[in-house]
Amino acid sequence: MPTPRSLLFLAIATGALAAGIGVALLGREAPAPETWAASTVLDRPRALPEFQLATASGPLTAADLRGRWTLVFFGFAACPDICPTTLALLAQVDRSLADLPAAARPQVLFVSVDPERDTPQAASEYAAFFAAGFRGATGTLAELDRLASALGAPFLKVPLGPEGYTVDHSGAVFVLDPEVRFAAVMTPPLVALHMADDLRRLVTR
Amino acid sequence: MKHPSLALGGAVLLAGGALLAGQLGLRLHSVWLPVAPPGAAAHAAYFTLENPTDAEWRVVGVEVEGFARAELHETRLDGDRARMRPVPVLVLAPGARLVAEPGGLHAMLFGAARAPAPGMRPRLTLVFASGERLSAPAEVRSARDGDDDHTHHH
Repeated sequence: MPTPRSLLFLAIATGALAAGIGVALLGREAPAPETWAASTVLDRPRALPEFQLATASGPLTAADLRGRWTLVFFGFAACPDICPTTLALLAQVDRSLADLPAAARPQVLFVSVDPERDTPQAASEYAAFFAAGFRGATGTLAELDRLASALGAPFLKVPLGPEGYTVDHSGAVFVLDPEVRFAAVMTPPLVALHMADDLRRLVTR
Repeated sequence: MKHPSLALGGAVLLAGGALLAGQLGLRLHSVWLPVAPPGAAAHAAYFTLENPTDAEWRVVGVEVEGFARAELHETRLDGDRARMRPVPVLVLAPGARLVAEPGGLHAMLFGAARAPAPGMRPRLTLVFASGERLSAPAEVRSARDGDDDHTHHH
C-alpha cells in the first residue's frame, strides 16, 4: 500500500517530469513553423536565374518585376479549362487585395509555354482579359525552360487530336518576392480566399 | 421529373424532342460556357448529368451548337502538373451524378463559329452509346465575375 506521502512525491515527480518535457519540446519547436492556408513558403527565398521573356510591349526580365510581389502562372491560350479557371481565380484574389497599397499588391504574370501558337501580343492580351494590369508573356523554349525549371514547373508538349497538341504544365501559382526570388508556391486545388489570406500575410510580414 | 409516372412519361414523349430528358429519365442541367478570352483557340463547356434510372448510361460523344467539334476531356493533376486528356467514354452508373466543372471534366470545343459571348444560349447535346441524345441550352458566363460564384462549389 503506498502511503499518502509517497503518492504526493510521485505526483510532484511526475509533474516535474511533464513540465521538463514540455519545456524541452517548446525549446525544440521555437520558432514555431508557420502554417499557411494555401502556400508552401520557402524557408529562404531562392534566387532565380536570369531570364528574358517577351510581352506585347517588349522584353520582360527580372528587372521589370523588381519592387513588387509577383504571382506567376504558366499556361497557354489554347488551354480551355485550367488556364482560364486559374486566371479568373487570380483576378478574384487580386480584387480581394484591392485595399493594399499599390506597391504591396502582387502583380500577376501569365507565362505562355506555347510560343508556337501564342505570340507575345497574344499572351499579353489573353492575360489582360482577366484583369486590367495582368501581364502576359512568352519566350523562346530555352528561356521558358530556364524559368520553369528554376520554379520546379516543367512543361511538356503532348500530341492531342487532329488539332495537334496540348501542353502539360504546372497548375501551381508561384510567388516571387520584390527581389524577384522564388518565395512561395500555391498548389491546386486553389482557393481564392486562402490565397488572398496568405498573400496578405506574406506581403505585410 | 425525377421519377415520372408512366402517364407523365407518355405525355412528355408526345410533347416532343425538347423534353427528351423526361423520356430517357436522365437530367442534364447547369450547362455553361465561360466567356472566351481573346485569341482562345479552344473553349470549354461544363454541365451536370444525373442518372436517377436503374440503368447504366454511357456517354460517347458531345456536340455544342456553334462549334465544329467537341470532345470530352479531363484535366487531371499529377502532382502539381495539370494534364488534359480525352475521355472517350463516360460511364454513368445507376444513381450516379456527374459534374463537369472547371479544373476537371469538361467538353473541349474546337472551331468556334463565334467566340462564346454573354447572351448566347448554345445547345449542348450528349450522345449515348445507345444512340440516344440528350440536349440542354447552355448559358455563357463571364469568367471574371462568374468565378465568385464558382468558389462556392468547392
